[in-house]
Amino acid sequence: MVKKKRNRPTIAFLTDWSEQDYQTNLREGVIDAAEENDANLFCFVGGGLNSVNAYEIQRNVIYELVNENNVDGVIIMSASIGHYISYNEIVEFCNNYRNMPIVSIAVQIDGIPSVLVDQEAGMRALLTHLIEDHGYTKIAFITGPEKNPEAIQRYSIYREMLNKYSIDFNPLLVTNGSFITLSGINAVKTLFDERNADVDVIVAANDVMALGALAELQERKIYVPGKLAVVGFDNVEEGKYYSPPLTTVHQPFYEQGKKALEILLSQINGMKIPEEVYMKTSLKIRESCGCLPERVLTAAVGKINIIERNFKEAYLAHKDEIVDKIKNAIDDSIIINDSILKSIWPFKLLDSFYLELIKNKKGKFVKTLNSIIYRTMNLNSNVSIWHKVLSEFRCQTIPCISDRALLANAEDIWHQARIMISDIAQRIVTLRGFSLKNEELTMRTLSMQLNTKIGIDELLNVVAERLPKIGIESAFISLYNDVKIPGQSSKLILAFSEDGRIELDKGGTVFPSRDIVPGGILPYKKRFIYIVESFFYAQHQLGFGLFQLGPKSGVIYESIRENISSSLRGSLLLKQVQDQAHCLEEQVKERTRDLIKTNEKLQQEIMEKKKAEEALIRSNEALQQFAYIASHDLQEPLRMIAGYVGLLERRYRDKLDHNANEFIEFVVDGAKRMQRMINDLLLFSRVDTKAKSFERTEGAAIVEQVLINLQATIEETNAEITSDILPVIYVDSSQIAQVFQNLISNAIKFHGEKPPKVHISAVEKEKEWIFSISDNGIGIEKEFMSKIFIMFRRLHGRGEYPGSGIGLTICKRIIERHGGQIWVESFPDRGSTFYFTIPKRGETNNGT
Amino acid sequence: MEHDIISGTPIEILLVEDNPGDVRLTLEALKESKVHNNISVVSDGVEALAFLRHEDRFSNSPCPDIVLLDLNLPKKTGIEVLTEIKNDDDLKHIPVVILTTSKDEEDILKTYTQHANAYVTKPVDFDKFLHVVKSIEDFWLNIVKLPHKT
Repeated sequence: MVKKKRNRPTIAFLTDWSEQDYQTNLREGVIDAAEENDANLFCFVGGGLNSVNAYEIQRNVIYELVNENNVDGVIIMSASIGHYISYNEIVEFCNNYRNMPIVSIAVQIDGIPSVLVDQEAGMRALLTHLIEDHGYTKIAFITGPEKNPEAIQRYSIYREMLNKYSIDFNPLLVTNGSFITLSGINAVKTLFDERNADVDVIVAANDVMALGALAELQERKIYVPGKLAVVGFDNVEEGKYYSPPLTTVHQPFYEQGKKALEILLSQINGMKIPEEVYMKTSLKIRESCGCLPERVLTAAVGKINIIERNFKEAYLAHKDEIVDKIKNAIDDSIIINDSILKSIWPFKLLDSFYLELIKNKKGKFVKTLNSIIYRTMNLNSNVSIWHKVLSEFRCQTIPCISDRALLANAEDIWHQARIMISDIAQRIVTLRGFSLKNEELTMRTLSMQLNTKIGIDELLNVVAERLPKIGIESAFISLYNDVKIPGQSSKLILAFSEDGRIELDKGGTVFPSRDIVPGGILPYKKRFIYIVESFFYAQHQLGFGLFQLGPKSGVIYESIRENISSSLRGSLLLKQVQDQAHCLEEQVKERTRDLIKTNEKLQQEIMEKKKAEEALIRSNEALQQFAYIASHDLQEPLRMIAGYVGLLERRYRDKLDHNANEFIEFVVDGAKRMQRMINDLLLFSRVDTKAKSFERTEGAAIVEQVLINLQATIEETNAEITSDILPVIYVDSSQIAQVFQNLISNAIKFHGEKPPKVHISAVEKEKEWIFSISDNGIGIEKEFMSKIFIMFRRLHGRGEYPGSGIGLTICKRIIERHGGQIWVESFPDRGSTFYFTIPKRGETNNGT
Repeated sequence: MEHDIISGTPIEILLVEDNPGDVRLTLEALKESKVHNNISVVSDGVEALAFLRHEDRFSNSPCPDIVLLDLNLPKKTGIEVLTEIKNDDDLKHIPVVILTTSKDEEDILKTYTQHANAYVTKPVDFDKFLHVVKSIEDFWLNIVKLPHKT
């Protein structure tokens, strides 16, 4: 079932609330038993299930952390955890842990060993005492919560005992309570104000309600027990010190806790154990029922049979008897953990008495008693039990003292001892007050320090620094990764042990919540006890913490939990805000980074473009140079060919035959064409090499000059040239003139059968002028439109239309140099329109 | 007028040209000229100036009536030769006709100096070449009226 990875058993103790008497005592029993049996212990303080208090339900979540991974067995305080739920619901809860050995406390569950208290016997004894010893018949009863099995049981015994003593049941004497102080107060109000009841004694189903009733009666100046007796059940601490001290039934909570752990260990070790183990209750008769205080009663020796013998002889003869009696006097009220002291203290006490009385060792007895008391007491001990020991001692010793002088000495010794016991008791009460105050101060300091820390790290530093100072030497604080599913995973954000802080992953060491702590981090070598507390704030789950048991007061852990919870909540909220701010900052940074990257990319693109442009410029320059040189140097061989062929033709025409002369003509024609192409190429290269800067020019003036240049052609073809009003433009005028000249002469050249008509116009756009030259000529097939601007591309045979085909290429080059575009729209036989754009420029702008 | 010239003393022409093809073409064209002429040919700028100054092996060379100067010459370029002629008081009266390869070259030349008396683009076909020679004749006919050399 459980892999034995630990060298000592580890027990989970599930408890609802650690600061009340019942839980405190029981927990102490469990803790002491764990210590005695060398077992590890986790106390899961997870509140009552389905409690009326929302804050308590918030704590329930830590019960989910208990599983076979982290413990070998579970002790469930079923009665108090299930305080607000039905029996079936308690069973259901316990079933969660069925795969491990379980022990249920105070609720009997089938198949689960349960440590129960024989309440019935205690309740019967109490009622018997009230009816038989005091003769009460008008017995009022304050019930506990309706569903609580113990409350139901106590009430049924009340009814049973009334029946037994033939006392009529009067429903007016029964009031409903819920185990709280207020129920006691309300009971008094109901009984006396509303029902005007006649009551001998109020029996409360628990001490808390009894104390509430006592307080309310005191408020009304009704003397208890003179006018009315009050008794309770449970034997809580407060009842012992109340005035009058409360008569009650002692619940063996401590013993119950101890027993629970012991039988759980037996179960783990595979031993068979009974399903139900009953613990005995005992009647605690104090003054609120009308009795004299117990120790007052027991102080009386009563009838004495003097043993007429020498004290020494008589004393030695009765020594064992005396030892037994005084040993029994303290029964289990004083827990003596020191096994040697446990067996020898009565002997030591007796020996010291003997030495003082006979050997005249002054103060020996008081000193010895004092040392025994100090070695066995703690802040919670009931020191007055030693009065009982002393009374018993006196009862047993007096018969041995026949000598009056010796008796007087003995009485002196006992008297001194009583004074000393009272002093110690007084001091303990005072000290308890101080201790509470100290505890309170410690907690208030811690709380102040925690609440003034803003960041989580700071907060954890304070916890790590402060807790060891109040005796908590090791703690582990974890946060749920997802508060909606706390059981899934958590991160440990603080860990320290006796050896100091334990290094964790940045941002916390992540682990499955069901492991409680990351593997290997708990100091399994040593036995440990951790209180496991849930951190939450209002309805927000935060995480949980393990605190090594230091001070035994549960209040301290409660207070630590509350403080850490609220500080954590604050810090987490702050961190959330900071994270959001940081996230925002990161986003901005990222955007900036992106922007920078985009910028760099852009810059790079610009650089590349610039480089490409430079390369283009260089290649352009090289091309121009090539065109220039080619046109020059090609001329010379061409001249040789043409020159000498011409000379040949001139000198030898008559001597050659017809064919030779024809060949010579082809050579001449080829050379002439080649020369024209070379000249065109030169012209093209001149667009850039002969470029001038842009100047303000009248469009009309350019066209006028062009028309003069073309006058001969115009007259020859009978062409009609018209023009709109043309704008002022900023251009290299001689180049733009060339464009107009090329386009107009083309328009005239490619005319159809009708005389050519050419119209020039200009349209203004936002950033440019669109010039157009349209004609009524032969037009251009659509498929050729894109080709006409390519160098030496001719659409027509040489015979039809003259020209080398460079004209439009030069136009394109010039317009592009001006930052414009050139294109054509045309339909065959319907004429063509050439468009070109010239950007508008300021007067200062120069073209390059 | 032509007859006078034909019958008169022959014109002394100095052709500065390194391309033998051009030299021959020029010589052939001048053969057909109506003007009686004597042609001397040198093939670089240094020789051209030595010829003009009767230096070294040219001590007995005639003083030319006209210089036909190619631009693209080894050692000293046409422009350098032209500049020296025009800066030399003894020589600057000699008319110089610059022979260029292209119209473009002529434009560039114009920006350098105004000292040349004429610019002639070398034509491609022989007929045009004859035409050029005719132009030079006309040119010559115009300048003979200038003060005669001493």
